[in-house]
Amino acid sequence: MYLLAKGSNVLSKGLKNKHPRLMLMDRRHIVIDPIHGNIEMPRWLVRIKDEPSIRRMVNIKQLGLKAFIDFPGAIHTRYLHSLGTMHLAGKLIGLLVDKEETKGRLDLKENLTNNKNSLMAAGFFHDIGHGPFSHVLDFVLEKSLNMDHEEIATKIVKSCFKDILEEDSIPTDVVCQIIKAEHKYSFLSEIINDAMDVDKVDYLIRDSYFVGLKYGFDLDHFLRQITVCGVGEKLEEYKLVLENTTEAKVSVELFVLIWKALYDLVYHVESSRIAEKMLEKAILVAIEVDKDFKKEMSKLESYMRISEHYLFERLTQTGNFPGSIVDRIRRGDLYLQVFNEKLEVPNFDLNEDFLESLRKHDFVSEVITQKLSEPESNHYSIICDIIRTKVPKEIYVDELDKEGEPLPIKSAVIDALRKEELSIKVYVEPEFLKKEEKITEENIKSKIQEIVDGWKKGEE
Amino acid sequence: MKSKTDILLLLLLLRLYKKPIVGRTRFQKIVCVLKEKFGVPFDYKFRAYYYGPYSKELADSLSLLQGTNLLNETTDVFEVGVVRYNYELTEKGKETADKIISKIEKKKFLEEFEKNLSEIQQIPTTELISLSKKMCGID
Repeated sequence: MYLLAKGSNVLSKGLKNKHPRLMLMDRRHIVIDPIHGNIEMPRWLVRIKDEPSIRRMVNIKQLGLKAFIDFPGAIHTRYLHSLGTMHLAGKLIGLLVDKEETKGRLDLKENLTNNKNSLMAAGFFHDIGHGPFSHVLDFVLEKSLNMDHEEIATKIVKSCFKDILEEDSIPTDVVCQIIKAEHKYSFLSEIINDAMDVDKVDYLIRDSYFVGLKYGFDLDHFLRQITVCGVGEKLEEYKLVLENTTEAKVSVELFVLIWKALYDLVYHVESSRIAEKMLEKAILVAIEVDKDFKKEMSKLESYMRISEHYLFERLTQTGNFPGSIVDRIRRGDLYLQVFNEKLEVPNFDLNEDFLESLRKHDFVSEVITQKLSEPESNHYSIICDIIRTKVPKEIYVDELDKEGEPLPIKSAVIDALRKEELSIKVYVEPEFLKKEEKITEENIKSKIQEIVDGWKKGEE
Repeated sequence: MKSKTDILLLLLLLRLYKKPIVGRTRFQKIVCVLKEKFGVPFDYKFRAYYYGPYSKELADSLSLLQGTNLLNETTDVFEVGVVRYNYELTEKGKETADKIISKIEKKKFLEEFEKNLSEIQQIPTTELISLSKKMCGID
């Protein structure tokens, strides 16, 4: 919903002579957001907000299939999250600049001020590359386009919005460097992409609100605990850190705990996860059996036109298996989880080739899926899923050690969450499970071990 | 040795080091120096970071080895607020590494690897940081 803010100069003199599009430029556009209240759109965004690649985000649910399965309240979209991230980037920069009034690092203050618009643009565009149902397509994209959604985002920014951004003195190269966490001043990239970036801050608050988990988190207080650490002329060595205080520590511990809770309770929740893997396999089969669909998925231009609704309809027309999967998801008739074990020794004997491949665990689970499903083709009765828990990135505090480097935070709470775990799960089509007596936990485990034993490096 | 052997080389490194590797920073610099100075075919790419060259992929591999229960990470906390992380293979990790070692035909490679490691063990971390910066052309 867009509103004209008070004080807008839409009725300014000379209005009659202006082109309607230019008239629009004079308006201040405010979006009402349930999380942050009023979000004001910058001028460049007002000019492009109705472009198809941006409107597309209105039709991509932030939590993908979770809204269909486990969390009917999660109907919020990538678009709203992108606006929220942009808004928070601007807010955090404002706070950091204010701090420099007293800290007196003029170069830093100037740099932050000059890059405010680029950071806000990076915040807005960072997720524009997401496909329908958000993360469901991550693996498919990597397979078919050989790109992740951040790379797609930078391609879109460069090819579609370069002129508009640069008219407002926002260099697209800088925006893309920030999105890909490659800016030479890492403290800038860290605002959008690091341990406590504004992307995470927005999605944690937004996702917990929409799924209905009423976690208490004081956003303003948290943002005030963030600062930039560094001395001297080399801004390359400056880093986004936490104030070295107890209240900052407690605040970030809460932040990390909520982040962990959302992974365990929402992002990796069982039923939605099964539906997501089912949809992923339906798309892979559709790419295999339908050349036109394969073309659509492998070219950026056509990929950008695929909405969630279109994808479901397209899969329904594409062969038996993809259509049946869409039908199942619509009915909530999901595959059943029949196996769940930690993927670690001594549960499994893991050789070095398998471990090497495991760095790309989505590809490994696809290979295991195919081997478990043999000899059936173009139909996945069995799906293997490997889940790596997310661990918090290193967080530093505003204090330098004797080498002049920022100190990592000392927190038993955060350390306790840092141990990664891998689990391997198997989901089976209910009808297949009924007729196949051989599908027991014991048999699945020995079959997986057999596959691991015969693993060849590069097989993924 | 072929490329894409990072995990194998990491397991070898942890086994042949014969004592815990103390500090994340030190671990990163050991791998960097092994690659850049001694030509050990690690595939990890290092970039300038706090405390010198750093590889995100290497940090990810260490996390993976911990996740699969092959590597232990323990922490020492000092009064001044400094946290130090120590790395050592678990018993199962040692068994896995020993299996790999027994399969390696080029014994000369292993001898050379051990020699390089004992040389690195003598270098204090601050010097190792300087050396790795120099080897990677980062200053």
